[in-house]
Amino acid sequence: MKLSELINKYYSVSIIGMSKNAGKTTVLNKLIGELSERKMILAITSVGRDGESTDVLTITPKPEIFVPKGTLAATAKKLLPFCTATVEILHSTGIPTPLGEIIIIRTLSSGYIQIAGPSIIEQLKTVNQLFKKFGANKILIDGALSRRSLCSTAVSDATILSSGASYSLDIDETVADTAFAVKMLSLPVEKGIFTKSSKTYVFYYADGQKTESDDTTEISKTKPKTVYVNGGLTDGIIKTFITKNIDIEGVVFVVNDSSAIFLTEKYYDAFTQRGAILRVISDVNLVAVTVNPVSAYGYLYNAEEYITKIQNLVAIPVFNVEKDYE
Amino acid sequence: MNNVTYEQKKAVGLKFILDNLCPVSAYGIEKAKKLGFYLPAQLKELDIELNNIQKACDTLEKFENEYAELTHTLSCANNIIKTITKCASSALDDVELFEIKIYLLLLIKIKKTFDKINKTANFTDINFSDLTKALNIVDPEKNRIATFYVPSSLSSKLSELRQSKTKIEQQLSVTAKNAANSLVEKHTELAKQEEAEENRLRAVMSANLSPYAEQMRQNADAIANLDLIIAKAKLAKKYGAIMPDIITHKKITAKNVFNPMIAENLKERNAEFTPISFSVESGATVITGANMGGKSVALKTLALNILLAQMGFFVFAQKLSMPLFDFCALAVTDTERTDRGLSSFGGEIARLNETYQKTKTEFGLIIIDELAKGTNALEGQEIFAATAQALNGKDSISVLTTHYDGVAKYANKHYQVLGLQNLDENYIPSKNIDENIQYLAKKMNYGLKEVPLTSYAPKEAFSICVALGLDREILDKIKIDH
Repeated sequence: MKLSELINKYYSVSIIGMSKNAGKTTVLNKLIGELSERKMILAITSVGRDGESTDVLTITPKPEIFVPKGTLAATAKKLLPFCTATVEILHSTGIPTPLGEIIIIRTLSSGYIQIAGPSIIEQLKTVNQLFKKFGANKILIDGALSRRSLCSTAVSDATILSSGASYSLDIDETVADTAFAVKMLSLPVEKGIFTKSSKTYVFYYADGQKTESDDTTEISKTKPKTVYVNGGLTDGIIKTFITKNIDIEGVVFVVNDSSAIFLTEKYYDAFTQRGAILRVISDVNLVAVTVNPVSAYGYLYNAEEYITKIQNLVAIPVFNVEKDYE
Repeated sequence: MNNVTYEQKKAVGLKFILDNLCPVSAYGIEKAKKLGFYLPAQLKELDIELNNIQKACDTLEKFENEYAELTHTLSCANNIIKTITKCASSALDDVELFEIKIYLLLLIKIKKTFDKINKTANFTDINFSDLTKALNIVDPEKNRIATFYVPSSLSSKLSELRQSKTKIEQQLSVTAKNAANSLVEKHTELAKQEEAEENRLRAVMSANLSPYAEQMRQNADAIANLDLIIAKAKLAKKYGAIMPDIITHKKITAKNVFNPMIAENLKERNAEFTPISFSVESGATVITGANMGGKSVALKTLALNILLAQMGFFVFAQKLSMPLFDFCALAVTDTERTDRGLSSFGGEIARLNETYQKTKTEFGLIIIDELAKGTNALEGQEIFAATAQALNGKDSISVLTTHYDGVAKYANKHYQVLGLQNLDENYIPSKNIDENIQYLAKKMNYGLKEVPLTSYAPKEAFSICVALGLDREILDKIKIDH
């Protein structure tokens, strides 16, 4: 099965990378190629432009995403002159970015386009609605792991995670971290209303009561049913559970989304071994992992080994961007 | 006029009215934020504005569909004044030319609907000029679609470049990725040349547009004006406002004037606002009457409607005739100045002096609620009497309320709040204070009646105390004959 077939039923699809050069752009370009063969009107945007905006202002950016004629895109105004495709302006959104307002364009020829889209979920929703209005059949979002809250199911029906050899010289480290990222991105949703607080935790009890606290030891004393973690869940917090021997068995910990989880696998395991459960308020629908065995730093993994090792650890399909696509 | 503060606008209910004014275009919303007052020298402009509102009121129903369409179209108008200004002097980019095109397309739509209404309404000084020629510059192929690109038909060079690019694109689509490098390079080079040629053409378009910049700006003003006139007319319909009669005679005559904010507050307490009728002229008018806020309501209602008229709004009355004032000095409850570090009495006197100086050279409306109530009764009464006497000798129209007795004789007119009417002698006060207040509010008549200058204020405080259920041990010690 081709990756483009796997995402057939999803209207908006985002792609996020484990690191730079994980093959995200390759995946995007391949999807664009395959989907446009099926005469689909594609709409493309990205979430922000991580760490690249300075490059854009100083040097001419390298062409990245090649699109056919008739493609829709949402991108920053200052990037328009760098598109080699001839473009038509459809709408000015009023959404500001460091590179100017976000503009909805349509390509009048094929060519490379430069994309820098919104960086707030509400803005991405607006852009998605405009794409729909202008007749898009499918939306592709160039996502970012650091902004994975913008890949939540509220704006992206499905998400693809790209893993690449550039992540680490050590294949086992790349495999383990990729599998762990998949686990974190697949955490189930906890339904309910969680209120923001100035305190670290909001405790919810079985009888409907609710208290707020910064004191971890209260979990042992009062045994809440659910704990909403305000901000990030870190190794440090788990360390406190261990050193103070706090009873967290059966307690459901809730974070906003997986971007609020700053746990290493070791501490996550310690957390679950103590019987605690981790859930998110907004989830990501992760449907596939892609691997790129070629590193930008001049080495490569054994593709077979790489793909098998990951596939053994995750339940979703794994694609080799080089092999499956060449 | 422009010294009316935010707190005063809030206190008299002007903010409430402005919040209920709903312009829909970016230009109208902008203008509504900066509404000023028409001064006596601008009588002609005010007259045009008020008459335009009347024309809108008269046509709102008959052209309901046209107005709905117009409102929708106006609501699509974004503020592109910056872009218009830029086009007068420098080249616009793709997105700015897009904005201009959208704006010009919108203007055509507005003009079309407006003309339909205007045949009957005949608005004064609202004109949308024909900018088809400007539109043709940004839409040379005359497709009239709300998108923008530089069309190939504008230059043979651009057309050739795009054809060459297309050829490469076709080759690219059948070339393996590893063999495509030189094609991609060629394509990128052509795209650069295309961008340069587009830039040149955009500069030409911008230069051609620049003579129309002034007209585009004037049309934006027309959008703002029309939008506000429609909003004011809708507001007038909503609350039943009428056109004020602006006269040169220094006299305000009001018949059944009301204050929508206070009326709404009363409605929440199941009480009704009694419209007020009165006439005041040069010199001082004193309003006396019971507690329960009747006097302040009269003052706030007067202030609101005079301010509205001078801002070019319809007024909330059955009839209102008034002159235009050079200034309006408001001293109504909860507007005491606190920023001067003086006591509330000190602030009051400083303000009074400031106002009084103005009356020596200008014609104003002076509204003072309970002057000198914060000081001792004996001196307070003296201060009030002297002020009323002094203001009575001026050209300006002053309206003062007081609970002091026997001071109205220094004014030239005396009104009393009708106050509590038909109090039930057998009313047994409830333990719930709110119920008692509601009972009193229902019995309260905020209407005014003119009485002789020497009339004394009705004594109602005792009846209020009874109705509120004040302990008998206190009531029985009150030794006034009632």
